[in-house]
Amino acid sequence: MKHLNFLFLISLFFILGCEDVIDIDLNNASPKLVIEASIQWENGTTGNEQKIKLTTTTGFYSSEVPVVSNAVVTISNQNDTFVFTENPGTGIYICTNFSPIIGETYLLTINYNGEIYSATEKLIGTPAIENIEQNNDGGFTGNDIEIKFLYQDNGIEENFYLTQFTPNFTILPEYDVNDDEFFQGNQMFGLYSNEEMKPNDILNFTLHGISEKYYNYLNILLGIAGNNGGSPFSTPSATVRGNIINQTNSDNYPLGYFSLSETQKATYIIQ
Amino acid sequence: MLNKKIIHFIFLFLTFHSFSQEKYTLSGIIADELTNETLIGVNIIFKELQTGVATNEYGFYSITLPKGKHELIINYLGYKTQTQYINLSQNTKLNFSLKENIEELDEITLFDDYEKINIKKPEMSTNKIAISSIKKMPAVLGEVDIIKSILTLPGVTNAGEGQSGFNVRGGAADQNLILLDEATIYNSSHLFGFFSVFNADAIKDLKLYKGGIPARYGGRVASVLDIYQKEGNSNSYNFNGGIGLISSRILAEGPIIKNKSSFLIGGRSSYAHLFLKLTDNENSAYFYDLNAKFSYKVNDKNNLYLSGYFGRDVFSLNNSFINTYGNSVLNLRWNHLFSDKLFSNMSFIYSDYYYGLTLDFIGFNWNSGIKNYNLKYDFKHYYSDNSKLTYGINSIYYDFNPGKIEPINSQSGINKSQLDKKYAFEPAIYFDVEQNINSNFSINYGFRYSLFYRLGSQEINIYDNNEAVIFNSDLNIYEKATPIGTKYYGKNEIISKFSNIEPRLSLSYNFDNNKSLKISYNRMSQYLHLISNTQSPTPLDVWTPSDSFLKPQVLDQYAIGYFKNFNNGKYSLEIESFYKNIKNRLDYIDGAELVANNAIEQVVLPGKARAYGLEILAKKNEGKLNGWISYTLSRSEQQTEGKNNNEIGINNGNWYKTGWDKTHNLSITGIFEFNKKWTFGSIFALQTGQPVTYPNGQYQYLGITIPSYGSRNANNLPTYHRLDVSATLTPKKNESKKVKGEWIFSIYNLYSRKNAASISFRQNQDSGSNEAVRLSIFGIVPSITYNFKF
Repeated sequence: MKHLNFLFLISLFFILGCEDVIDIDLNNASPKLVIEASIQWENGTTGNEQKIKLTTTTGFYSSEVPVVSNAVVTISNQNDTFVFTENPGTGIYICTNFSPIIGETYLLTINYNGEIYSATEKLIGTPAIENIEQNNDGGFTGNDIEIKFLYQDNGIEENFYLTQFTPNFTILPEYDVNDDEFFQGNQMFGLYSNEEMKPNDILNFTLHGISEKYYNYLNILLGIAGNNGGSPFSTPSATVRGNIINQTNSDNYPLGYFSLSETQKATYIIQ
Repeated sequence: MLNKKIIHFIFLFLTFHSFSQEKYTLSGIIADELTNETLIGVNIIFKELQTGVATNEYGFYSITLPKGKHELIINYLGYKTQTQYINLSQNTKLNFSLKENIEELDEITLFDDYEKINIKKPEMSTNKIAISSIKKMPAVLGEVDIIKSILTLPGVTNAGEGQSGFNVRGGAADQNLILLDEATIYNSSHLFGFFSVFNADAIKDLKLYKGGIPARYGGRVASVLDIYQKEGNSNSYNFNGGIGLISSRILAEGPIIKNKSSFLIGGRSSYAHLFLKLTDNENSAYFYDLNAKFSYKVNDKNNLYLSGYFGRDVFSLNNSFINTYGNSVLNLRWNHLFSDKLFSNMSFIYSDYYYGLTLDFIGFNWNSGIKNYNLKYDFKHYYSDNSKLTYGINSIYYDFNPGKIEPINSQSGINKSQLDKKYAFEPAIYFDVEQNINSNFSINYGFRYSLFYRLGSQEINIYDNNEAVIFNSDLNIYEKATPIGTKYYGKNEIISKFSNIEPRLSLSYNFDNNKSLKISYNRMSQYLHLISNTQSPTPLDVWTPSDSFLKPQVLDQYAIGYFKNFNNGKYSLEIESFYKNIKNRLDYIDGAELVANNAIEQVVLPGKARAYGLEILAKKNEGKLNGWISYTLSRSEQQTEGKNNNEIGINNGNWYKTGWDKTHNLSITGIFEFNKKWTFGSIFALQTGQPVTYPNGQYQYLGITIPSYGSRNANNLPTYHRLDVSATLTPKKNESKKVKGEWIFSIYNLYSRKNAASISFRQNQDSGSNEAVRLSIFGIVPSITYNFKF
């Protein structure tokens, strides 16, 4: 809800104002470890194959993402330990025997440069996508194609959701987070609208059930990544701390998050 | 203890008088001869006695003088100076009617004697601008604007172009008390700061207090902007208005019973669609407001006034997004003269702010707001020729609606929900003495005793250790605490209670008639918090009362100033320096959701704020060319430390610049009266760019680029500067015509500087590479307005 409102305020500014790209000199902070440990168990699959990505921060204008090799990465639950091995030189660590269980608590452990990083998180279930609707008079202008997908919220608990939209006509994925505060137990929906979207375009989307803490984290993260940085309606920018702790040296904290979700995927071809 | 001291102090000063001479009181009302509109701040000067008095907010004056024959001079901007002899042998009532000065048009005077520095008065950090001066300044977008005019004064800024509100001496926008006919205005901006909510045609007078704030004002810690509406012409019917490219306005005033009662009704509206270029569909964005006032002179001793204001902003996008918000106020006042020395005013004031939103595609209606009922009784006691007392009581009842959400139809997935309504009561008493100790030294001292009761009915969360925000020491982040229970308070039951004694003191020492040194101290408390985590307030921000988690803000401000008039008042110079600190300024934990949050206490931490600076104002008060240069060097910061050593606080517990900090702020305003036909005006503004946080790195997460940041507000946007010019054409044939008109041509941002309203750091949607994008709002904006009067 907050996002919608700000979106409107910002769009008003864009209509009024004019934008141009300018050169701003920026400082470069020393690199920090970035852990993308987003375990996704696609509904209907075994979920055995999982990956974790290790990179570092870099200068804002840099086009290279430095990868992190030679780390020891494991996830364990009560009974098992799953080892993630690097595809050499890529910073991508892969496991082929992961065993996902909804509601189970998992522990991530990373040993890198003599420092131990760890995090615990539960695997969260996700409701099925029940229906997809297309509205050709949607969006703010009322002239854009708008895709709405619907799912049933669980009325007996507080739920939090992450949706990833991957259209085939943009190079970057888009994300949205929702909570059920005002929708408790009702049918909820995700909306996607883009003025570039036209018939026969393909829209992939993935719904993730997430924890409240991960929701809070993503809320800040997406706010920073989005266009609202620096507008009068933006909130102060800050570095977002995830749930991963450096056990050896807490000041050298890592960025990123350890999350586990069941996911529901759907593909829609624009009519 | 403190209480006793103050009372002792007061008596000490009150016993200073000498009773050697026989004295009588001269009192009365000063009004415009043609309209009977009472005039505020008119000076009545007794030269040989070296004394004088100014009319109050209702045009009343009272002065006690020795028996005998005296020469008095009445001096007021835009009016002919009157000189008269009186023979005072008993208490005398004398009303004056002033004639507007229309003949001597070739030399305008921008400031009346009051606006020139009042060297002797123990009043500082105060600016008064006459509406007639404001009307001569270049109008941005063709509309005279009160808020924009005060931005040309030292110590006053706003966060940036197109941002709501204004900031005084490093204070936040919600720390300004904005009064329209004594009623609180909660949002001073239309269209996000492009216009102010005040229709200059309906305004008589305004005064901005930045420091040394008199005890009769309270409830906000940064400043008081006191605005008075006109009463209306009780002599003849008058209409005036203006037609512009962006907005138009009309105002009518006249007698109901001649010389006894009058009305004033004014309206203003911008044109729909104007701000949205998406003209091919049903979108609109506009504002309107209405001002009304009825005045009734019951008899010589009693006057009644009823005044009101109603304003709304409306945004509608294809009927799927409808947003309406604005202020409304209503005030009934009764002026009563108990004697020629004791003036009183009782007011009953209602004021509210409403915010409503309909989102059709999500399927809900949302509304929030604040209402208050205020009963005031104020006395001005012209106690003796050396001392004037001001005292009174004030009590405000608040009704807060933090938000209500409803489904718009049965298909909507939204559940109906009302966030907890909140109630509070804020009574206060005050006492203020203005006293001339001798011909060089005068003093103003007083106090305000304010109380605040947070009242039921409401269910209040209870937390472990009373901590609604907990610190996660593993991750070094703040998190919401989970309540361990709730406690229900019944209707009008006291939930929490606060009280503050707020001393106020100003001293003035004049070396001669042209130089003085003044110092002041004021403590003020603010019991309402605007829950806002953005650079400048947005219309949907909600006000919330103090409670045991959100403690009242308390300010201490110290100021010192040197004031000098040159060349018989042709030029004047004011130099002031201030320091202030504020306790309990709220700060927000990272990722705090403020909209529709029923437990604000879980996302806020108490911090502190401080500001200090140097202000210089140089004015040329007379001549064909006049104007003022104001420069401010200042710093505004805040800090939120951890509750104990384990916690890091916000921004690692370090001081950081507020979003409205401006190191340098220069403004040059000039008005040139070329001839009877043409007047030119210009404003040049130059200031340090707004503090912002630039990224110091980036990383990849979930396939998108995330900027990473260092210390908060450690960078600044590029320097802001801009030149506006205007030309006013008054056709010559006017003098004979019944309808008097004038054309105003203005250009905003003459050299089309692309000032950055923001710089965002983001990934280009097509190339995927990172870039810095500047958003600038206004390039060069020409406008034209036709004003008429008949």
